[in-house]
Amino acid sequence: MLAKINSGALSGIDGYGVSVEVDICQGLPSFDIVGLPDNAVKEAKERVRTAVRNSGFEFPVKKITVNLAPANTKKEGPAFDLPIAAGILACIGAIKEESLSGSIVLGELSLDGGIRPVDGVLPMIYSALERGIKRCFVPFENSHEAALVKGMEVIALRSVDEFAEILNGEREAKPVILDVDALFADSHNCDYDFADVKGQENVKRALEIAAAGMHNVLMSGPPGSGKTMMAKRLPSILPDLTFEESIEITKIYSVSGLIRNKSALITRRPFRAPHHTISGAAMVGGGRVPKPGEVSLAHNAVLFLDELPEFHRDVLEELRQPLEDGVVNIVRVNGNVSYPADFMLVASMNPCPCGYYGYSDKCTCTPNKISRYMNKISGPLLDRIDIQVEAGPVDYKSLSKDRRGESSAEIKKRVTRAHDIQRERYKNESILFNSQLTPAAIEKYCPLGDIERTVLKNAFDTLNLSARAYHKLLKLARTIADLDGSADILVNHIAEAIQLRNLDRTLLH
Amino acid sequence: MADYSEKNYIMWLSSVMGIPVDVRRALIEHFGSAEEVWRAKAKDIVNSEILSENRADMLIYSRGAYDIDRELDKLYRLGADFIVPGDGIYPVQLTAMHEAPLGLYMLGNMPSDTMPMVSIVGSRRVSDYGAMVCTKTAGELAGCGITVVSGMAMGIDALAHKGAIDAGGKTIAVLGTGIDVCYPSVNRNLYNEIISAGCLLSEFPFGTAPNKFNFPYRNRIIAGLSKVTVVVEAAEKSGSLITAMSAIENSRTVMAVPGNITSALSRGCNELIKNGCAPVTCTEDILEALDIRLNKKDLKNSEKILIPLAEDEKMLYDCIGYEPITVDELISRSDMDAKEAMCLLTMLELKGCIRRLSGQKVVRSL
Repeated sequence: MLAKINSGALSGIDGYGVSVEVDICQGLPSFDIVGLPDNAVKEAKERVRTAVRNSGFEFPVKKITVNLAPANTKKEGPAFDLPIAAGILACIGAIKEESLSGSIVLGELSLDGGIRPVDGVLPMIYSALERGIKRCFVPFENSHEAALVKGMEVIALRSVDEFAEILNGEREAKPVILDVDALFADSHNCDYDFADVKGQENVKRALEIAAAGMHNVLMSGPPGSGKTMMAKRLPSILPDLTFEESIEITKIYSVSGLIRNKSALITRRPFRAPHHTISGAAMVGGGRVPKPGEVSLAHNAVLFLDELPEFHRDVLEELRQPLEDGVVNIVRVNGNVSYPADFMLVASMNPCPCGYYGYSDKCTCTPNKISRYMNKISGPLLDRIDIQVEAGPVDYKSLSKDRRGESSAEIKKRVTRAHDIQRERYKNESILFNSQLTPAAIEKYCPLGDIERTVLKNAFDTLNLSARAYHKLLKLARTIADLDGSADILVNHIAEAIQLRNLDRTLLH
Repeated sequence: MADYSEKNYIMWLSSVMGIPVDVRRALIEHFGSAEEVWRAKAKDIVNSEILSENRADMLIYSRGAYDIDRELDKLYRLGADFIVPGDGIYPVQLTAMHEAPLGLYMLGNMPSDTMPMVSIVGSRRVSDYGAMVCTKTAGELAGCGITVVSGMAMGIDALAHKGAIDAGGKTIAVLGTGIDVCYPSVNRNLYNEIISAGCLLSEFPFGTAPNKFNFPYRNRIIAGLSKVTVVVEAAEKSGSLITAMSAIENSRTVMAVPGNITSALSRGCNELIKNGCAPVTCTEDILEALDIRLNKKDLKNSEKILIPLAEDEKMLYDCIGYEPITVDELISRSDMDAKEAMCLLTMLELKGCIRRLSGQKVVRSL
């Protein structure tokens, strides 16, 4: 007897079809899985055998062969448990194989016959739909995620016998219907609001500019100046996600196993803040079995690196490529995968190892120690950070002030308008934001008048700006002009941009 | 062998480590010249009883180990010079001090001694205040044609050199290492700039590493080169106080820049003032100590260039005093929004009315 069940597997954040072929024939009793299974798939044998028996079926004492086609790609994870069990049940006639035609089956088995959730359901269902499959059987916990795919009939399963009863027509299958639009419309709001931040007006303004042009930011300041607090509020001033962006993020989260029914669709921009002990593979993605890293989890959103110099140097260097390309390519012997990683980098650091240099006499760091600390961030990485802003200490006076700051909603309106202007301007280019402008494009889109040129030249002469600041200043001035709704870059835009490049300046000492 | 000059033998004699300068000088006096010390019989050196047995052995050994040709070759390749008293380059001021070095390695050009020199010293750790005063003072002195002498260390030293160079003046750095060693290495640019704006001096042979016991010797040369030593910022136990002491011992004038009595970085300076050193409140104080009378307009840098400020610039400018203020506080004090204030700050900075300090602070330009 032979049965073929449709299932799926992942490559990067895209799914592809896997056909699970089960054959049962006379011979010495055995149970073999072929088709490049990894350990989790090989172990499916034991789970399937026990789960089938505990669901009240006779497990055949025959020679069982399972093939996972295509046989040349490595199969991982426990998602093949359910299709294998389905194949066996079909072979012994416990279910009707015809009732599975045109369906995809995914799920991990537990020993009692229950069905457990698996990772990456969303991309696998998407790819199944593209292949013309219109119905899916997925674990209950994954059903909402699968139901995000319009045009797919989703049947949620809790156990193997429920599955068998549905297939045999003994139980009515109720497709899961999800009001995706309502889910998407549901609260884009962030838990945090900029109105809570007192003082630090210049940093808030810098973050607004950063959000408007999707510029990367480095905040430097003593402990307790509110760097983390402000970074956390950054998603609240970024424009709302579009549905496509939202699905793309959800796919990444799905692959990483971070999606369950309660939060099937990611509607808010994530804020990822990995600890500084993070490894390179966890940051950019990778591992023997490639998984998306923090940069991908921060796709279309914010990656916050607190205490930037404390991160391992090689981890920081690995950030350079995704910062440039907006995508991570992981190359392995058996194929390569790519994960989207278009994120906004927000980093914070102290001015010196003890944290108080320039702010208080408390600092006892030697100049040597300070320069070693600063040197942990390499020039090429610093080159990719457009905005460098200092956050001074907050004194009691401004903390106790009644005046609430501007709310995130207000700022978001301005940022959204700036985004719209940029989208319109770059509709014929392959970029979306000012931060992505190449030097050649800067010449085209950031023209300066005579007065502006003089001011900029003056600034370079008198303020000790480094040459690498030139293009960044123009990009920033462009963003500030966009925030202002001004078509031309004016003197005050340049003047403000100069204040956003503090680290470029060789200050007195 | 015969074509070496006395200068070359002095170079050898001053390279023998562990012998105080006055002992070396006594050796030369005893034997008549450095060349005679080189040629003297070992027995005579020991019998002269100027040196202890160990030191005598060391001296005798070094005669065999020292290769004058090789050292001259190094001098030549580096483009350096070895100067000794009486050769017309060796600063006269220095010969007047006791324990004056027998000779100095020199890289660059010795500024003419028609104008006096002023030493500016201070600690490596600097406050914003110290940095500002140091740069300004050095710049103004250099603007009057005075050579600024310091030690090319980090902090005040480097700022003093920088201030003088930026003002287009002359500067001398006295090193505690060999003249071919740039220490600290972050001052590599400064090292090169000093060579073209004056000279580097060192009494230590080529390749001498920055040993901490070399620096007090270096400090006495800094003090000896100038009539006036200015201590800009020094903590309680700062190396610059050694410079000040040796200046006093050689009856040179020591002046100190007063600081906040609460500031640890100014404690040494304030102590000096308490003990009778004259305070520096402006560059003219130093000029007066040098007996130089200049018209006000000669102090180029202090000339305030009054640029007309726009209304709003004026408003922000009025909120900034001589006490550093953080940008954040400034914004709340001036009641402007961040956007406006940031833009005005740049304009004020471009007009030279204010200065940006580290730690998000601004201050009115001196």
